[in-house]
Amino acid sequence: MTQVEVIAKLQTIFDDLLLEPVVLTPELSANDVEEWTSLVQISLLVAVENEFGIQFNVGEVERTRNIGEFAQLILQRRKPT
Amino acid sequence: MNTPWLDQVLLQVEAANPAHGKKLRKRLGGLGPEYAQRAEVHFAAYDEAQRTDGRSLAFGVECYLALSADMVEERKKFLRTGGYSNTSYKAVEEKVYGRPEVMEYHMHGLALAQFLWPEQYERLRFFCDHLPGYAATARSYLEIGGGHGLYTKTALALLPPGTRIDLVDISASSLKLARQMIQSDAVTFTLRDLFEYESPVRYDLISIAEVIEHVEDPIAMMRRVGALLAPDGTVFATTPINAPMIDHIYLFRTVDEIRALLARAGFVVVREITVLSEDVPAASATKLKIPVMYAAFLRHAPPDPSRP
Repeated sequence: MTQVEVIAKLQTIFDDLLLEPVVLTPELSANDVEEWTSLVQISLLVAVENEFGIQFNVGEVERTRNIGEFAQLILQRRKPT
Repeated sequence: MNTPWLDQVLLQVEAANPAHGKKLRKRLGGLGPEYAQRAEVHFAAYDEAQRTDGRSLAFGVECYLALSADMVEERKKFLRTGGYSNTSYKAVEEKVYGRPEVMEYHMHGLALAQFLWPEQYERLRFFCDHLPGYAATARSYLEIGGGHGLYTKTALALLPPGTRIDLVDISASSLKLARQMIQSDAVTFTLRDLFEYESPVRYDLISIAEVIEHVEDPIAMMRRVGALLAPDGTVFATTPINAPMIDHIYLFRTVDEIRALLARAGFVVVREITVLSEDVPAASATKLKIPVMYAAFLRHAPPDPSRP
């Protein structure tokens, strides 16, 4: 799976959870999206964990600065299929 | 307005968790000077009260950060399972109430959260704005589950002098903090389960704030409140929906569920408010199960003429 494919899956999750449409790009961060609050982030993380069959370690998501880095983290956490 | 105590709290939160501190500054910024003044009084009183134990406001902030970390974990579990992690009083007693060190940081964290979470402040403001309107002829006030003591202390300032003020709580940790915060001989503190609490009076005013989500049978709890309330008395009741915490048992999924429960327990709503805990559109809050604070003033429902 590539970063582009991960971001495409993330787009579906974001579309499902957020009311205002947002186009995900590798550079996009939580600061760019008003609706992306800390509680919303937890909902997004749980949905991402379910979708990709992974579990994040404490604090590692917070260290990612944008969608691109978040997608890379998902790729690292994802078990090889 | 200078807000040295609030500034101290926010700086300490930011140092430990920059994203959380930023969120608090953003959400608290619009609450206005009345909020700032009340927050200063509360944080200063907390700091002074803690000096007797060799602590300060900084201890409270540490507790608040621990409480916040617990909430993140509880929220993840809630979103994964659809329920609260504890569904019985016994489980919460083992994990929280029976562990003084957990109970202490949890209660002290909540004491600070009253002025760090806008929905909690809106709840207090609702109480302050409307309690005097119900209190003109009140001679007695009961606080159930007084927790950190803020509401009893506020009632003490708002009610006519000479009003009987009682506080009953099942937790020794809560009572200790409430005593420290209230510091008044005008309040009678009782450590007891509400179902074992006996009073020589039926109260004109009863406050039961953020309590019924902590019990397995909130209808029984509210019926007990009804038994303690004078025929013309008023109840201030609050509880949240979709609000996972380490000591929450009963999950309300919608505000209508709360209203239905209050009606079944024999109350009518006189006035109410709901406040979202995040700055998101209401539809988004429902979709994402964002917590909602519900508060209401209640009276006894009139007798049902269709019943013999």
